[in-house]
Amino acid sequence: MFSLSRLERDIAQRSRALRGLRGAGITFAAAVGVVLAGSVAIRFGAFAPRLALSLGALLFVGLAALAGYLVGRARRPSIPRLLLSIDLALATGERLSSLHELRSRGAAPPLQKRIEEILEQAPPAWRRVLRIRRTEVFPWVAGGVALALAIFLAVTIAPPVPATAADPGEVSRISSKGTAVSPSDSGEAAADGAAAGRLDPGQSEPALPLVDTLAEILPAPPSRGLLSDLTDEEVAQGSRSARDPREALSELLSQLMSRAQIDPRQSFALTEREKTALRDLLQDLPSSGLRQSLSSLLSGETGDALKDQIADSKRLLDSLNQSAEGEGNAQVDSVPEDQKTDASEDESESIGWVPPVTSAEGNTGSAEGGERQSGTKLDGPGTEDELAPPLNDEGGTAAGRTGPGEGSAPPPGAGFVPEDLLGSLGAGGDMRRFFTKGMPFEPPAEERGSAAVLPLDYEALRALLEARALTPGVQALVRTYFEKITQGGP
Amino acid sequence: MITERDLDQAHALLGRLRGAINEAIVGQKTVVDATLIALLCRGNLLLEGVPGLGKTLLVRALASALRLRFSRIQFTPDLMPADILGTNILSEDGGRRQFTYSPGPIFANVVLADEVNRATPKTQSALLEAMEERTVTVGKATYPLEAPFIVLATQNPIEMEGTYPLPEAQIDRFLFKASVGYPSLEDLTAITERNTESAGLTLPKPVASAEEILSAQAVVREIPIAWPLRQYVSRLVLATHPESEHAPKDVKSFVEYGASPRAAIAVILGAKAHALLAGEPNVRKVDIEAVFRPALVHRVILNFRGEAEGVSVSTLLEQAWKETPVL
Repeated sequence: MFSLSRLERDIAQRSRALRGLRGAGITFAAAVGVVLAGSVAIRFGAFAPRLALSLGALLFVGLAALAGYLVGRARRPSIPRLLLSIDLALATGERLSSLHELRSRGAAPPLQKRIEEILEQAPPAWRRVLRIRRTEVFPWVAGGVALALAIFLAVTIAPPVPATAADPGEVSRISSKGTAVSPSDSGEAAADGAAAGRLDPGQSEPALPLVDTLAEILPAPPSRGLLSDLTDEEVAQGSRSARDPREALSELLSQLMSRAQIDPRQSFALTEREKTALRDLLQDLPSSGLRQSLSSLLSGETGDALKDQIADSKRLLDSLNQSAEGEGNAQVDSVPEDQKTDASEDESESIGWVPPVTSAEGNTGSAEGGERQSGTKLDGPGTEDELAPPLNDEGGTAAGRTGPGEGSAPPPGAGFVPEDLLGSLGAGGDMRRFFTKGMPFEPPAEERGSAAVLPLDYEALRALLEARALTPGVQALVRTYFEKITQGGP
Repeated sequence: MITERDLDQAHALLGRLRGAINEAIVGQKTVVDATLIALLCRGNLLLEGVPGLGKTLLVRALASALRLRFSRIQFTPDLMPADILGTNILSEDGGRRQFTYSPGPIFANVVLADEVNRATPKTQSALLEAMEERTVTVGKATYPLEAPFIVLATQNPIEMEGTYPLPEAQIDRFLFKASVGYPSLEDLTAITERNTESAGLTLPKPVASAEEILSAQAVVREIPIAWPLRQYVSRLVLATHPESEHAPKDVKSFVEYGASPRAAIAVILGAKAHALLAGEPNVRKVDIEAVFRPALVHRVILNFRGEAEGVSVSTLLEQAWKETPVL
């Protein structure tokens, strides 16, 4: 006997399942759309990809599909409409829906009986009507394709590292030393000709592919690799000193001077922002003379008086920088005698590096000058004596300020004097290059012939590293690095 | 509550009636079915067609097949309401004179209002009460009409001079409006044979009683129609209203007034009767389709633009049918 009740129960279940499937498909596709947008955002560097993010995205898609299924399934179908749709699709003569109507009214039993007899003889194949259709599959297919695309974007394509704005002053200083370490990713730097051009604007020839030697010996992030014995404070210090305060101050003063030149008003004054920047820099400056000069800028002077103070501060800073570069040159001079001549000549000729003329060099050959220089460096950074040589070209003045370490410091050129390099490295400013995964700078092609005789090797720097009181782990890293780039030789 | 016997008798009755009518009428299956459906639905039928197509013969054949009282009223411009409804006449009974009601021809089971549009609106309106309420009011007295009662009216669509188009209120009281068309070649040949050989045209003998007709009418009302199909009929009727959201573009442009709720009733009742006539135990979509146009074609009133452009109501109904989804 034909049972309409059972049929209604079956088609209701089937219909709810299909509705759930349809709802799940829609929410699945929508959720995948969101995930795809996120993948595109990762691809363009909006935020960094993380495993937790990927897992969260997959979880989000799954939960969205589940929610769509539950919501779709929760909606109760209209049985009369379902029955009529089956009737129309199967051309049953609207028997099912009419029988439902008769049963719900409890009327005309003879007619009910006749309809049931007809349905009994030809049971409707209602499953052919309530089946998964193309419109219900489409969201799943579209969502699947979008999900695959999202995974492809998130997994196989590495996000580009945003280009680091290189400080021209920093780059030129690094290139003048013949060795540079790019702060950006090595592969990107090698592929990016523009980035190479930024490193040395004077070069017209495109940079050759560089070998990331440091990256080879640093398979893991420095804080977890060979530098694992560095404390967090040391690493943080290296990060903080990413920008030399003197460079920043130089830029700021240059900007102030430019502004002073185009502003003829007597009311010319520093803006609050400039004052804030000056105060911040003031705290990081090692030189008390420079600090005093900058303090005068903040004293509230205006007009020409302020302009003069700015110019004085700039001159003082330039002198200090020149002095520091001159001391950096002493590092080259400290190379052993058998390498010193070739290295210095080759470097100055091939790389085009011209040692800056400093007050210390101006006094080359003078015992007073040598004493003054060594004496200042032995006092260490942050002493007023550090500023004395550029401020005063008279050796007597410098000699009068020599400290207790004067007698123990060898004269320039007599050997490697690790104390001299402390000031050159600054207050941890150059340390960041040890922490930053990067590439050594390669000279232009026409100068590369002499690059094999770079004076830098580990033995020459060992005393320097010991003087820096670096941890054994960092020293081992530096040694490995030098062995790599010199391939065992000098 | 109907029984199996009622159902069987209804099917048998309709078979006999169809056979009897076909003895006199050749072809015109649609019109014959419309007549039978109107009878089963307790409705009235307006037959429209040019002269000579057998409209009057159809009604006479039906009346002859039914063992019922039949009246024929030839509508003319000078016909008065009293000529249809009857009037009070002064009579003398035992020396006492009094007004006695003399029933008119409306008091019959089957009334043929031939060329109904030739009478004045005043006379035409005399049919209103009889057609809808099945009663006649004369003076202060109201007289019920005997069931079954059906008015079968005819009108000529081309001979318009000296005619009075039926008022909307009256035309809405016709369940269907059936257009009688020209017979086909085979049908025309058969018509000539029947009318020119031997005794000529003969009307059928009675095959159905009033009780059987009433029983069949009760069965029709028990035929089930699914609730979504009932909603579908409502949407179809609303689709003829220009202000309705369901209305097609042309309906909005050319229709002044859409079909009344009587139209929806007519469609559903007609579909039920059509299903019974087809031997089906329930209403199907095809049953609705069969009665949709005759039930609505006289109830949709074109606006001036529609009249001016000669838009056919049938075309608009066809459009409404196509553009209205079942679900």
